[in-house]
Amino acid sequence: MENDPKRKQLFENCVAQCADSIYRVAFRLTGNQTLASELVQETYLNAWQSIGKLKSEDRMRAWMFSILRNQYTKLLRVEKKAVNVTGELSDISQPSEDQSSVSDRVNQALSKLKEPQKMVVLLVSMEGFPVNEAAQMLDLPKGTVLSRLHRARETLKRILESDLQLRVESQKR
Amino acid sequence: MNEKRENQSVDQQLDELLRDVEMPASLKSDLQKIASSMPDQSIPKKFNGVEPDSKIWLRRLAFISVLAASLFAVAALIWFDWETGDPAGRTAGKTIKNEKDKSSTDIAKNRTTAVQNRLAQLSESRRALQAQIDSNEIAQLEDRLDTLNRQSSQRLDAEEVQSLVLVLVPEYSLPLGRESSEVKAEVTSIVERYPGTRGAKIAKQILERMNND
Repeated sequence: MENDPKRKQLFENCVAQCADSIYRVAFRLTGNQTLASELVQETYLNAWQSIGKLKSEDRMRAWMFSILRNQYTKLLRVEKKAVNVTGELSDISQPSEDQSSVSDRVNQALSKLKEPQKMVVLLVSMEGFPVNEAAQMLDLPKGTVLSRLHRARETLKRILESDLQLRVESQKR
Repeated sequence: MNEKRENQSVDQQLDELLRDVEMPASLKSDLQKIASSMPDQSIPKKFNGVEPDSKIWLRRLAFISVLAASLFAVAALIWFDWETGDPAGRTAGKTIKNEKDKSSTDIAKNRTTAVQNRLAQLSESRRALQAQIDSNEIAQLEDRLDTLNRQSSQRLDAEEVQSLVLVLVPEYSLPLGRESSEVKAEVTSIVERYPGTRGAKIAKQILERMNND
């Protein structure tokens, strides 16, 4: 069986268009670079195997995030220790809160959120998905997505208050 | 108004903070290699959902095959039922036979148990009946014994009667001054009182001789 160039082209487009977003979300979900890389690779392997199921190229991004979400759920389910490992690793890699980078502090703040809230805030706030589309992707009512988003934002703002103030002030200047 | 603007600004800052992640360059190149390093797989002939994946067709074909096989099996069962009158048909014959064997074994076991129970009941009845018969027989024997005892207490021993008669015979009693009629009456009463005994026979003979004299 010959390797269809169209399929290959489609996959390359997929990598070019979505890889950064997928990695960003994976990194924020896992809070760990190694786990995020593994999750992204698993996501793309799955995408390569089932790229025939992609109905339209316009839906590519949403389709990729659905695969990522499934892979992440699988990761949480099969390797229950993964979340603990993430915590342990981040604890080890971060000497203290005041010395850690902003990115690490964001990860720490995200780790305080519940999993469903985390996914909503990453899709809507970070990746800019419309609430309707996020609701469709997560198979949730729009109202639930909005309430989760609001709670998640409030929690993150409270935790990252000092970082946000610093940024706002520097922008004013 | 200012507060709202400030909130929006904070939200934007938060979004920027969240987005502040850079993907390792090596990962991107690894992802691009996936297409060339992975084994080839079946590819849809047309994209954009116009034609479904061939896997879907395979699945449909398998489903149709299973459905057809099921329908054929049902039809065969109905045909066998109609043709042979055997509701199970030949296909299910083995199962039915096993069930029959199983049920006949169960019936045999039940019958054996019932027969054993009946036998036990009969043995019990027999023992009870035998005990009743025995007790009846004992009662009868006891009754008879009582009767015999009663009879034997009323009768004299043969030798006793004989000696009595001998005492009363004229040769002995008359010389002692007793009257002939008195002796006759005595002997007659002995014959009447002890019928069938040897003494009574002798008494009869004496009575006859006295009458002849």
